[in-house]
Amino acid sequence: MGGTGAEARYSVIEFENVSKHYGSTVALDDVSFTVPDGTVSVLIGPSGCGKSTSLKLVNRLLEPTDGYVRVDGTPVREFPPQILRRGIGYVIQSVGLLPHMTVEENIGLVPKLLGRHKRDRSRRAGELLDLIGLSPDEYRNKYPIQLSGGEAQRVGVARALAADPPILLMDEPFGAVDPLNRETLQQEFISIQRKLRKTVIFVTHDLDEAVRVADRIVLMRDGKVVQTGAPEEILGAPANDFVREFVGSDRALKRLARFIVGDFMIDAPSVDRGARLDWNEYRDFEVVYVTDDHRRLLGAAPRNGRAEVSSAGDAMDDALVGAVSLGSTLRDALAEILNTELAETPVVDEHGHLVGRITMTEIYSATPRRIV
Amino acid sequence: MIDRDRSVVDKVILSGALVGGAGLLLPVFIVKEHRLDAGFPVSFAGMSLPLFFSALALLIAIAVVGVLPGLRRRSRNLPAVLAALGLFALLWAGTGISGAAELAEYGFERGRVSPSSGFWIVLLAILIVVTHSVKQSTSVWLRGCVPLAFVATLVVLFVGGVIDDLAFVREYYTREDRFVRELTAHIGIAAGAVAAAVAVGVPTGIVAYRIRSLERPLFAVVNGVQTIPSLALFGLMIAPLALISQRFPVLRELGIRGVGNTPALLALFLYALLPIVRNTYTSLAVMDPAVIHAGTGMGMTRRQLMWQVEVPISLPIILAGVRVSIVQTIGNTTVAALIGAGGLGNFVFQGLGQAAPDLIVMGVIPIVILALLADRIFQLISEWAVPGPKRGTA
Repeated sequence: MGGTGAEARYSVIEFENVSKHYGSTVALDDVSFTVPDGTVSVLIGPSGCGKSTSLKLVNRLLEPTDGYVRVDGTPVREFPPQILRRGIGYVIQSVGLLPHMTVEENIGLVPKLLGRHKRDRSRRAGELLDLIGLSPDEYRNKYPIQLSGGEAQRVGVARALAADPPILLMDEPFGAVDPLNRETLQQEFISIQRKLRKTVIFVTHDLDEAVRVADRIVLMRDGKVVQTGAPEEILGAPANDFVREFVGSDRALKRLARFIVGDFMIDAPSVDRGARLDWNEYRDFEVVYVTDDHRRLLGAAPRNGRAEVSSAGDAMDDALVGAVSLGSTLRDALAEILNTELAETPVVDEHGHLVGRITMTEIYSATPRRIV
Repeated sequence: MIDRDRSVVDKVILSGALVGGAGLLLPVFIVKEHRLDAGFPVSFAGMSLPLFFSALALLIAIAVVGVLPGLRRRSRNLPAVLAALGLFALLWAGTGISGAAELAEYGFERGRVSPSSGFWIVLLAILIVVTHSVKQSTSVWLRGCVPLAFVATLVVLFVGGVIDDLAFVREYYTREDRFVRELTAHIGIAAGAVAAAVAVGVPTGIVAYRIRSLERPLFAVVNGVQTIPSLALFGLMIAPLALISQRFPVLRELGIRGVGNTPALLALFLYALLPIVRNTYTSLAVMDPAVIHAGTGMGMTRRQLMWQVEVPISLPIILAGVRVSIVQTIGNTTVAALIGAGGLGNFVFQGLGQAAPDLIVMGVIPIVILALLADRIFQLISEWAVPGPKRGTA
């Protein structure tokens, strides 16, 4: 697996005027959208909007009444269903691990269908367990009944990735997991997707989840596409009242979750713990950060009511040590600002080194405003 | 909260020991000069004092295991079972050896030793302790091997000639050839009926699940059969089969008649159906649809889904049904002797007719052993053949 051929593969999924009727009920009505190669498109909408139906048309679990579903330009109906499905990863909410097989055998299922050798399947299962953050030695020989809900869902994702398919279909994959675990799973999915660059269709009814994982959102209602676009576009410029209501009055807040702190932060004034802090040098700042010899953040020294010149260590208030990490979102940064007594928050890297700060100005700059 | 696992007293083991203690005081066997002699009783103490005290010591050991405070429930199982096994060997060997000694002492050359109330009550005590311990145990080893160990003990004593003077062993030696014939017939009839029930029952269960409109009528029939008393069902088979075989002489030549093995097989087959049909149906009904959905979505063909998903998942439940069926059929086959079929039931009814309890016991013991063996063997097969976390390791 992972040979050069796999990376060279290119996959676009296209829906062209697709309709699906059940008798007189219309499940999908003239749906068209494109999922570009290597991106995540989230299908979202109220229940019964046709998002799950659309997903099942891609791997031919359902057939369209009208129109075309294409993969790399070829209509899927030209592939035998079993062959098509073995080339498309499929993750469902209820996971559906086979209870009589070990974790390793479950992961190796599609490679086995494709006739891969047992030794390769076993090695691949180990790689994937590592990828999803489960220790191969510990989990390889477990049975599904011995897994927690979150672990089972991770194995479900690993199973879908086992044959390294260019396309991944995920039908409410984290819907049955508790909220805390769900967020972890979403983060893991995002980092896996950054590495693997699959073409993904992801169905959910959870807008926060959509905003977090999507490159593009396809918002559906009653079998029709209402609006497509990047999450920040949909949150920033809802096409109509339905979208506005669907994304909620806190859409501006949700939108902040699309922006990464690292892209917006500005330089932070800092002084070594042992050095002298002379406020005359920091006329434009309300707060100066105090670090140790390795530039690790120790705390903050606020200006108000302090002597003009003092030792940095004395001036520091170590209650003011809250910070956000480089990879956090502006939404997290805003929450942190509201948490502290300062009007800003420092930014640290994974080693705790001070790398910058975020103030309300940066947060406003990410929000479309007519009057600033 | 009370730690249920660490209860102070295991009441079942304790009561087993008490029942055994009562048995020690009763006559263990009756020495008879000939088959119809009333004879005289011998108790444990009368056999030999060391034997009496050994048995008493084993019972006390069982009782102590039952009442020892702070002992985990599980850790009571093995010592209790081992003590019971010792008592079992002691009971049979002691009865055999001291029975032979009594016969020699009185010069009863054609005499025999009939186990009496004390013997059966101690056996009951052993049964109480062992079934309770085995049922609680999570170890496959214990649950699979213990019953086999008891049967093996008995076989060793029998083959070694230790229990030759027991009345029902005597009965066996006087009709050895016929015994082998009836045993073979018993196994053949039971196996044939169950095999046919599997061949018909599994597809029936599938049909009952797949075709919803047939579910109720099919189960009405299969359940209905179970409510007919076995004797009545055997009787009901006679008239129609006799009629058919008279109409079609070809069938008669094939051995299909109103009495004999054919009606027995047919009735036993009908009885054996229910557990198999019901468990097949259940195995499909409880199958998680997500598993099928996931399998299909990953590109399994219909055939792969069946052999790699549906069959392995439903097999353990179906096998459990077959197991119930076999045990039940081995018992029911006894009654089949009444309508002229072969089997160990012939000895039982012959013994009833001659008021010879030894003969009845001779027929019943192998039936019990057969049922026990079939049950254990199937239990082991289904536990080892079915993948999944083994019990106790989860």
